[in-house]
Amino acid sequence: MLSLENIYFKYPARRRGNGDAHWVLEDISLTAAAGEFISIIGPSGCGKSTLLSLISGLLRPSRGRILAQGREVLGPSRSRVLIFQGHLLFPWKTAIQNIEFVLKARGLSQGLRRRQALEYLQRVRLEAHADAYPRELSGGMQQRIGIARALAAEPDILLLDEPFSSLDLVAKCAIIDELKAIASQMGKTVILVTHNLEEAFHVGHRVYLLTKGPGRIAATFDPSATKPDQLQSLGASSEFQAFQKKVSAFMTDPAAAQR
Amino acid sequence: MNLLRRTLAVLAPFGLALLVWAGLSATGRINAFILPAPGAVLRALIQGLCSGELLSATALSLWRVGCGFGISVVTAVPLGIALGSSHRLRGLLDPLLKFVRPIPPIAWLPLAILWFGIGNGPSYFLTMVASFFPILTSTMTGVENVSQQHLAVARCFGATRASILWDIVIPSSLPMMISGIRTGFGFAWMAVVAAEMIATRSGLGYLIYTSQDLLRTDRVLVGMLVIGMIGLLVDTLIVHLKDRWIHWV
Repeated sequence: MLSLENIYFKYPARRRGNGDAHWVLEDISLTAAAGEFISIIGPSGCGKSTLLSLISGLLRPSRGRILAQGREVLGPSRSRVLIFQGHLLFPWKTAIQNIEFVLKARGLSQGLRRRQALEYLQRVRLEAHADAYPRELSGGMQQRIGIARALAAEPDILLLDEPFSSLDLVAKCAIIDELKAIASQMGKTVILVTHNLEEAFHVGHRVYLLTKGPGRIAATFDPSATKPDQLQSLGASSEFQAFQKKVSAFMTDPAAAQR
Repeated sequence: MNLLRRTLAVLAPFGLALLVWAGLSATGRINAFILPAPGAVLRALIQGLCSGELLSATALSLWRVGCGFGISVVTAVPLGIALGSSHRLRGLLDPLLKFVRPIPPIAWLPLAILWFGIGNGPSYFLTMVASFFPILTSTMTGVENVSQQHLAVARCFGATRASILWDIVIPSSLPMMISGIRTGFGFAWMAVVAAEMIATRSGLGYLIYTSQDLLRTDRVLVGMLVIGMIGLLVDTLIVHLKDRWIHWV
């Protein structure tokens, strides 16, 4: 269970007399239950990524508080893992060593680490590439290893920052469905930040739309239960088209769209 | 075939230099004291090898460099890591380091002789001073440039400080460290020759220096050839090790 209560954020002014920094995020409140998949969409610069950093604990809100499992977030924790934009595997470690690194942080003994790491690799069907270095793997494979590494932390909450932006459609669909299955099986809360409406609509139990300058929640959508199973066929569905139309109305003129 | 071509490519410039040298000597217009013929140098080389004099001088020089350079590696690498990871420490020591760094190693020699006397001491000290700064600076830069995102990932996973050091900071800055070590060895190897010319009575530097006094230019060249050869060998060795250790790029 994750809840954000009236979050405000601005970057601290570097120097005095630097002028007032603008709010990056203003009055953000949202909740996500275990097993829920939340999407956050919005134009670039609306503070989506900042919001994830706040939830992860890498940044602290200027006002308001974030509660994870009922406790206030005061710093980074293994229970909320951020999967970054691009591939942030450690290039000097093999696939399995990347996962073992997390297991080491969890305090597992050396003997246990390798066995468990293999299990996580199996979950993303990459056990055959355990000893490959990231540069030897395709973008999609690297992203799956990133997901396996995140899962190895046994987090309650997975935070995804545009993790699919560098993938082609086929790889993207495979990973998204895999992630959806894993999340619902293991009861993880997933928060996905993306600018891709199809992704957001496809995976989200709920979609939040953020507007820019300062970042605010402009609208919340509940993609209906009747949406198509396949991401590829989403574009043709009338539900998605209606969603798309509403989102673009909010982007161009939030005040009018609210009425 | 490929290997043959590569070997030829490496040897060709040497062959060319040798040819020019032999050609110049063959004209007979250059005094053998100024530039002895390749054959004379080869004879001096064989003589030096047979008498054991050359081997012992080389071994001594290598030992001195090994000691000074070794001290440098074990002190400059940890210090570089500390300076690279702490803004405060860097702010504190940087001005001093920037002041000491441009002083050429050779300028330390008179002081080193006063401190350590004639013998091995000045050589150890000079090679250490010569290799310390390249290693320190590269290590520091390597550590400073560790990806902030990688560090954030590690912190996110709750890695301990020790694990961040061993699993992230050191491997990530290893390429820079090794290139500093490579430059450092080159400097140390130059410094030992200088130190031996003045502060000891043995080693390759001393051999060159005394040979000049005796007008044995052939032996001067033999000493220089050996110095160049060893520099090349060690450099190749370091590059080879670097490629073996840093296989992820």
